[in-house]
Amino acid sequence: MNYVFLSKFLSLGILAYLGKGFLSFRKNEFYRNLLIFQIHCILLCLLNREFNILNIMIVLSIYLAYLFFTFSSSKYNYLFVLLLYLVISFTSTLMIESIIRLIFPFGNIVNETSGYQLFATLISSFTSLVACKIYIRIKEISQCFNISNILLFTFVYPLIIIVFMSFVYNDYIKITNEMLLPVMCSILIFSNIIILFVFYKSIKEIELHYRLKDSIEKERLLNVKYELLNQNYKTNFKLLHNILHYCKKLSLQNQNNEYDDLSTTIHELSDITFKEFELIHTNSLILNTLLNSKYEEIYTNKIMINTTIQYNEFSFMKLSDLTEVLSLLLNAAIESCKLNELKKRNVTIKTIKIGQQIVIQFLYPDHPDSKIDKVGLSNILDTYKGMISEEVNKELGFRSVMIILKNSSR
Amino acid sequence: MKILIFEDDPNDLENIETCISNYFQSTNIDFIIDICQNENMLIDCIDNYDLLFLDIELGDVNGIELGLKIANMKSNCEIIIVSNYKDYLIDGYKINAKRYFIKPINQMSFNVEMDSVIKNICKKNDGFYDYNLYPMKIYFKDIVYIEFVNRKSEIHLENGKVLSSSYPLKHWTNLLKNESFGQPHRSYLVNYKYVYAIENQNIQLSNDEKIPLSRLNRKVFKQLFLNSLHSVI
Repeated sequence: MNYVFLSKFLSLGILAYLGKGFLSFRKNEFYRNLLIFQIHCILLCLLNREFNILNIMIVLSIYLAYLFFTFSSSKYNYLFVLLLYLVISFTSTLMIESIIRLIFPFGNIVNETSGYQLFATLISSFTSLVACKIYIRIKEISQCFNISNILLFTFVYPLIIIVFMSFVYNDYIKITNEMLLPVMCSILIFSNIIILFVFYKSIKEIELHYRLKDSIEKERLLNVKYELLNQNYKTNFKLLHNILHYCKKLSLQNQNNEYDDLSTTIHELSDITFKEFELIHTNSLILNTLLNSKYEEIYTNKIMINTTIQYNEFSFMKLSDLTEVLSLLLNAAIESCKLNELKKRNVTIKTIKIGQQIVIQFLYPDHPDSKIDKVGLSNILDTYKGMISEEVNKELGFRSVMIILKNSSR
Repeated sequence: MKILIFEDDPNDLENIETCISNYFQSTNIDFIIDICQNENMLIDCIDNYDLLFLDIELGDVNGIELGLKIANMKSNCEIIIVSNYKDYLIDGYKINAKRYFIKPINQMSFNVEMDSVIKNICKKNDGFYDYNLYPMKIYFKDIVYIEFVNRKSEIHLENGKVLSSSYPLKHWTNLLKNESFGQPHRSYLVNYKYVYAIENQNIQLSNDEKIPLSRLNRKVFKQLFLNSLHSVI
């Protein structure tokens, strides 16, 4: 049985696969592309009969024509894909042939109808396919790090080999010729140096990539800090503005001897100052920052915040994790307050250490529609072997959310 | 419930009284409020009260020192600190007060904070009589843990005494099911109040004793312990 058609079908299939990895389809129509593939496959079977220069040129032309009709790209890219395909195909055929000859020294591999030929065709096609996949992956990675042009140099050695092989076609034994050996070695050294250079460039690219990421993150943090400072400024401005307004009012009432009103104004002023102070001053730096960042929301919704921070040693936790936990709880408390009537809008935040247990508690008015992001909380709490508990006091209509953590570093 | 207020500012006194009255009226618990402004009188009569509202910034008296004196007396009276400034509250933590309030006290905040304190005070006399075990009332709060060993239940009390009973552990589980007790192991019943640390295989109690924590009961015990804290802090 002659396996020529199978061999040509697989070869063109591999070329198509490689082309798909490096080029884009001229028209993304499945049946059109399939028809072009079939036509070129038949042409290859019909025209590739004898192994000579003319036939090689014909086969290469068919391959190029196939690439041209199927994919849309520049002529250099067609040539590049074709050369890459030839290198892969040639080296894998050579490698598989050597291995088969080693395993089956008496097998007739040259006979196109022998079982060895079928075996060799399938194995070499498979090897080529794997190599193509690797090259496509390399190309994807190189695109990530913008080193595609430099990476092309890694193909120098295989390209030189293919040119070199065109002179020794059909007689692989000549490769082992002593005269050619130093040339091969030199090329190998050159190729290795280039690969080392590419590795160096890749590492540099990776380093730059991370530096860029780091810079972006730093910029983001700087922006957050700026936002917070801005928020702080606004808070202080508002507070001072309010106090100034009350001072003027007090002075006026004093001038007019309106002592009853004066007393009421003093009471209002102390009430406002107390609320503001309570809101921005806790024993926890993170809580201060969080409350400041949500100041506008808390202030506009007339939410009263009380804090009792008896324990503030959270160094065993990542700052971002602690901020996230407190932020999720504070968000839930604020949202629940918004759903309740004004007089009930009261949030109490406590942290305390009971034995070795570190407890964070949020008390706020309950509402059936208020929800806590338990998934988000659990993801963080799992890291610290923490637990969450909720309890609703129906008589007073408030919810207690408690988080227990253990300082595992001790 | 007997409540004592130690406060020298008439406005703040009125604020505290109003909050207390409003809370107790809504819960239908009987209460008496007394006001005291003399340090010696306070120390003399503190044992007669369940709850003391202590102002930290008093005129001539140092509220913190006074609080420390009362705390050292190991009185059954629970202390609630009231202050004008949050910074003073940090000192108040030394007194081991139950709650801390910034003046003027908000009614809603008062209700939420005091609810568990009052309920715990109401429960502090809960217990049972069993003259075969002990000649006096055994208070639930005084039981550290119960161990079932050699077909007998051993009740370990806070004062170090161990009472032996022929009742199975099931009897105690039923008796204490509405109390703050949990079962870390099939042979033990532990008062959550005395749990110091929960380790992987043990529970460390505040009296330095260790109780085994079975793999089967671990998760439930930890969760119930956490739930019990809602009424503590």
